[in-house]
Amino acid sequence: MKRHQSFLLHIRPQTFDAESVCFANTYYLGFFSVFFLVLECVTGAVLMVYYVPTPEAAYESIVRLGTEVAFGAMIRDLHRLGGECMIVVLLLHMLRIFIAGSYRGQFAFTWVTGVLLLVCTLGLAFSGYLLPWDQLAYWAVTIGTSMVDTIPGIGVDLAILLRGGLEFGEDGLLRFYLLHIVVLPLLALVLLSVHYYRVARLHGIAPPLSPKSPTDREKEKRRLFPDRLLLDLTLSMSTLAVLVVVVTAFYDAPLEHHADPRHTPAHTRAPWFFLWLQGALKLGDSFAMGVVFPLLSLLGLLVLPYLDRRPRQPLRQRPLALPLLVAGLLLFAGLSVLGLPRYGVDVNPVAALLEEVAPEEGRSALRSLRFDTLRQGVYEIDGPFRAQSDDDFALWLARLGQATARLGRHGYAEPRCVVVVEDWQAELKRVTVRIHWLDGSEVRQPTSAEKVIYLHRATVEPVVSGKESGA
Amino acid sequence: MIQRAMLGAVASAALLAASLVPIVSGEAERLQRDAASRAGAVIEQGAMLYGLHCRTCHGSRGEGVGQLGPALGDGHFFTKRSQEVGWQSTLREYVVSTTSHGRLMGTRPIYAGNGTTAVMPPWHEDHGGMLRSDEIAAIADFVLNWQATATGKVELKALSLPEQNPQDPRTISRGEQVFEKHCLRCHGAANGAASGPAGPPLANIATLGNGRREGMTAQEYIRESILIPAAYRREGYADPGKGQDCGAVLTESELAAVIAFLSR
Ligand code: HEC
Ligand code: HEC
Repeated sequence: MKRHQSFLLHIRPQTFDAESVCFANTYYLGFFSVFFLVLECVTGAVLMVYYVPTPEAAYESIVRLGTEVAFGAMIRDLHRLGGECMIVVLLLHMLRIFIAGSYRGQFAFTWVTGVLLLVCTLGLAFSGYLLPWDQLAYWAVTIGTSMVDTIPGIGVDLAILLRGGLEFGEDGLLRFYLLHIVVLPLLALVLLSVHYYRVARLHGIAPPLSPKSPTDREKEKRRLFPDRLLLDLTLSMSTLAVLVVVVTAFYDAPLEHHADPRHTPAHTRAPWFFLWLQGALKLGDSFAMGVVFPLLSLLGLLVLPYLDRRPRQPLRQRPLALPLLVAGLLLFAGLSVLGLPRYGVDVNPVAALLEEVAPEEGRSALRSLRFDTLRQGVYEIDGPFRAQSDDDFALWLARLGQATARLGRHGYAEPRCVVVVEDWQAELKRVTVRIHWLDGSEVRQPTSAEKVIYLHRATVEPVVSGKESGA
Repeated sequence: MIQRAMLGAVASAALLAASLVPIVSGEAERLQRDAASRAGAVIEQGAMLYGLHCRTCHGSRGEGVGQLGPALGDGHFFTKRSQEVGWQSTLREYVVSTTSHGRLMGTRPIYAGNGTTAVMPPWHEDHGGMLRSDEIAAIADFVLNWQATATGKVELKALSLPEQNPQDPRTISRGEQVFEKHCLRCHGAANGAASGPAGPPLANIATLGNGRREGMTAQEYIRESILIPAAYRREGYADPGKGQDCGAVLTESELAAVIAFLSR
């Protein structure tokens, strides 16, 4: 065999067993994990050019990315989506290895590095989550790190070390930034090197359990160059193409209002990959559920290959594995559902209605109405509302009237709604939604709650060079 | 074998290129659109913050509130104010800078204040206020957005809200609540003739107030006394240096209610 002087060619073996690169065996999940890692590094490097890690400038730099930098929004979307995909791929990868049973014996330590890579990736996702410095980021990460506070003894000091203070500020943001761009990527690189070295050079990929004769296998070799490399290239480019389409048509990385430590938002929602933790926290003490439970689960995953020492068998023949797998998946799904904001948090129905009409963040039915249909006036919605015309605004009012009437079921006597639309400034309208009801069981006290929304034409119907765009 | 692999690679490269076409062709327009909608969102945020922090002194529509604060939404502010104070930079800078630092003293006698506190507090968190730079920038964008109406380019009719009927017992009882909260400590009980520690008794202001100032009804006089105490001083009471002016911060409807209450 020719010896290669080149470092790059040294990283990957020159030939592969056909079986180990067979799609039906691996689904290329390892490949895709690395693909997403590379995507994250490349898009991340571009983002670093524009991002400024200070509370004063971070948010503005993300806004600029969307409004001034050509392809800035696409790069940011790709980075965010890519990170989430990477977690999905890693989970699937782990699931496949578990089902195939190929985490035992000589594969054990490879499994351990894989689990650590997953932890590392979650750490990257979590630290990256903070960086836009919007309300979503700030509060999710504040809640996420507050669990550290509950560790007896060292908790508070540890949390201060992490956040740079009692609450997130300049220091905390910088720390998370450095974790995100230096510490965790380096760690991931080291872990990945070990992981890949073991797979590529030490023990290969576990073949499917239906054995072929060794001579057959010997014959079926695939060359790295050009076959495998071309295939890798093909896969990478087509996956990227799919991601680009998704990002163009369906996916926008969220950006809420600027982080405000003084204002707790109506909903604080963990990212989906941490919803299970938020769900667990609703079940019990935050130390037990927020620290002990995740650490024990992690420990369980790490020692799994050392507890389970029998030779490899298909899933059917491992009596414990299937129930364990199903239980694990159900637990993950169940806790995640429980973690959704709608469970376990009591909201007052009037506040919930007002939040629905005029959410603090994101889009709403009101914002999707055409700007000019919002005519100045006072609209009293009493009982079934008779729409004077059938434009969107009238329909919106009617729906609001029905929602108000439903408050009656929650014990709000004579609920009624008043909407005031005012032309506030050029191209700016002020909409006041006020809900009246009678409070108290004996002496009925007239009570009301209201919310004010300002609407600018440009946010409702953005205009491009004097023309209306894609109406 | 190798041909197929090559073909695959070329096809995927073509796919990738094709997927980029919509983004590349629409990017300039998207940037414009997102910048426009961002600018609108900033004005909305500014409107909200203005309503929270500035409305009480400068009026909800920037019309100014008596002696408390000048108008920010009128033609004078947009066309003359810069020269009046000799401001060299843009009007937006003027708003940002004034708002950030506040004003220790008014530049016009009517806004002189009581000499013990700043007439307008500083708002930037670096100067002891509570707003971030981006929030002050948003308020400035909102204030500047009055330009079109202030200079007459756009006309907006204010919504004629149903007048609060001054005879309505609900208005009067609301006015009583306002009185107890804001006026009692200086003027004493509204029905008693005894005055409070600082202000004159108001029991008969409905009749006494008529014509106390040339050509003003009692209602107009009460309104002026609250908003511009300096306009008329009563012997023996006024000690404006000591923070003893009416100086209450009321909304327009609270004002109407308390006037209805005093002239019932
Ligand atoms: C306590 C009452 C008060 C509040 C609240 C207040 N201001 Fe003022 N403001 C004043 C007074 C008084 C002046 C000084 C007028 C003068 O110097 O003649 C002033 C002046 C200004 C000026 C300069 C106007 C001019 O004609 O020179 C601006 C701009 C301004 N304020 C903006 C704001 C903004 C924005 C807010 C809300 C964040 C705010 N103010 C809140 C009282 C107030
Ligand atoms: C800080 C103390 C203080 C508070 C609070 C106060 N006032 Fe006054 N008020 C005075 C003083 C002092 C005068 C007399 C000063 C003058 O004539 O300029 C006065 C004068 C008046 C007058 C004119 C009386 C007259 O006989 O000519 C009216 C009307 C009035 N206040 C109404 C109100 C109302 C209504 C409120 C509550 C919204 C109120 N004031 C809150 C101190 C106060």
